[in-house]
Amino acid sequence: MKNKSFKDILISNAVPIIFLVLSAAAIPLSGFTTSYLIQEMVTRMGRNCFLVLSLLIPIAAGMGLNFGMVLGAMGGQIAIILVTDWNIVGMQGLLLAAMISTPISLALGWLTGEILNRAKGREMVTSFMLGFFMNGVYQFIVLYGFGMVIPVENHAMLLSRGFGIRNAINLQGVRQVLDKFLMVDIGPIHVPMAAFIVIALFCLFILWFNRTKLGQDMRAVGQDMAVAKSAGIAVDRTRIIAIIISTVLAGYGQIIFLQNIGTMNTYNAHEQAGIFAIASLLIGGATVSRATITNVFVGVMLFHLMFVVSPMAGKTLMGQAQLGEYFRVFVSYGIIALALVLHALRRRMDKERERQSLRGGDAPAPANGH
Amino acid sequence: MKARRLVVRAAALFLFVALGVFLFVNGKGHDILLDNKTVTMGDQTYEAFASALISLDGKKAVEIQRRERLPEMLVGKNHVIRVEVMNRGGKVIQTREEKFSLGLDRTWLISLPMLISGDARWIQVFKTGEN
Repeated sequence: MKNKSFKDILISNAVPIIFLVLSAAAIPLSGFTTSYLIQEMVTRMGRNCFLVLSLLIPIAAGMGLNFGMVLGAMGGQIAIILVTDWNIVGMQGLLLAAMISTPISLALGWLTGEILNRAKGREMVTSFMLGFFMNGVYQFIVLYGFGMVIPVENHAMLLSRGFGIRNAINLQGVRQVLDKFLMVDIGPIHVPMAAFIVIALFCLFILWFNRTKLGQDMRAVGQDMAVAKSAGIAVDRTRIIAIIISTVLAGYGQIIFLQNIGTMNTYNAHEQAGIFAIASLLIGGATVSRATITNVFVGVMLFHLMFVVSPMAGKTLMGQAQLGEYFRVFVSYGIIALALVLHALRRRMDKERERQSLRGGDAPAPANGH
Repeated sequence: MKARRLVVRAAALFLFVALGVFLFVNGKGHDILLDNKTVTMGDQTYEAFASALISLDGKKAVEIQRRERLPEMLVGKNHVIRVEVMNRGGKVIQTREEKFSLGLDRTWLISLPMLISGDARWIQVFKTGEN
């Protein structure tokens, strides 16, 4: 195994290192205490890690960042709306929401998989556009379907015209149900242990899944579809399964996220879920073609550390908290753009390298490390 | 082989739906209005009492005064209510415990005077606009 030079390590971990440096500079400026920051990180990791973990399987299958995870988030949100309307509360409400979101996310995941199989090599942009398209369908259902076709018992959830769900819903019945189910106090820090157990189970599932036949098939498909196909792997089916798993898990992740927040921004919550989850993963050092569980945890921590400290740091530096707010939105989109540019560059370099090797010339070292 | 797979899938689907129904029934939250007002049903009048201690499902009792209506929340289908009627001196003069089941309706009105008097209509679905 080739030893990596310090420069190689720096280059391959440039994004997390930059964020670490930025955070280290912003923390003293923000004036937050250590215990406050630790509490915030623990809460936010419990809230977001599941969503980000749902992105790993499609990356392993070579489908890049699943921007289509917003479809799963929509499924989760529709389930949460129904459960809130029926007034199913507590853990039962949360489990029922997960159960309702499952068939919705399954169907949406299958649809996404079928479409992405027709757009091989352009999965990310296709799933991104599919997210926009399905957002329209979601808005149509929630804005017109609820109260008109789908009966709504709780009229407080409806717009004043009598149909369509309000912009914000109070999720009182399921608010922090999972978090409070097993809250452990470690000194001044409240740790939502149940949420972390669920996340740990998900991590174990991913590790186990990677060792199964299907998991191995996915990795084979991710490395080279043509080789996988010639080895007898049902490439299209495997890719559809990867997207279905990701979409269903994104639905669960959105439910976990919303129960922690306690309110739902009906028409925007899913959009934010996709962008922030993908940005978190990339900040953790993942690339479009390679992501690990470690990337998830590092990314969520660094991204949310920036989220917490940047408004206050902006206020201290410029006298305006809004500056930090702009910064974190800029960072979210910027990091995704940067990752996509780097991915395109690496692909171009890899192709160039292949061409060089076919010509018999000296091939430069592979750019993406696999 | 195909038939076996079909049976397994049908069983899994049945279990999935059954679990969903179970969660729906047992997780359904109901708004309960504990009502201590004088009620007239037909030619029968049930007088409100001075005060009472109400305990739902063995939880800590709440005190209700004459002409008061207290909101409570119950989750699930089957419950127990315990009413201890007190005189003006605060001494318990009558106790009654009843088991009851809630349907799928959201809001229910429990008339405490009717409950104490043994009228079977002491619990009713509360429709918005009623008082």
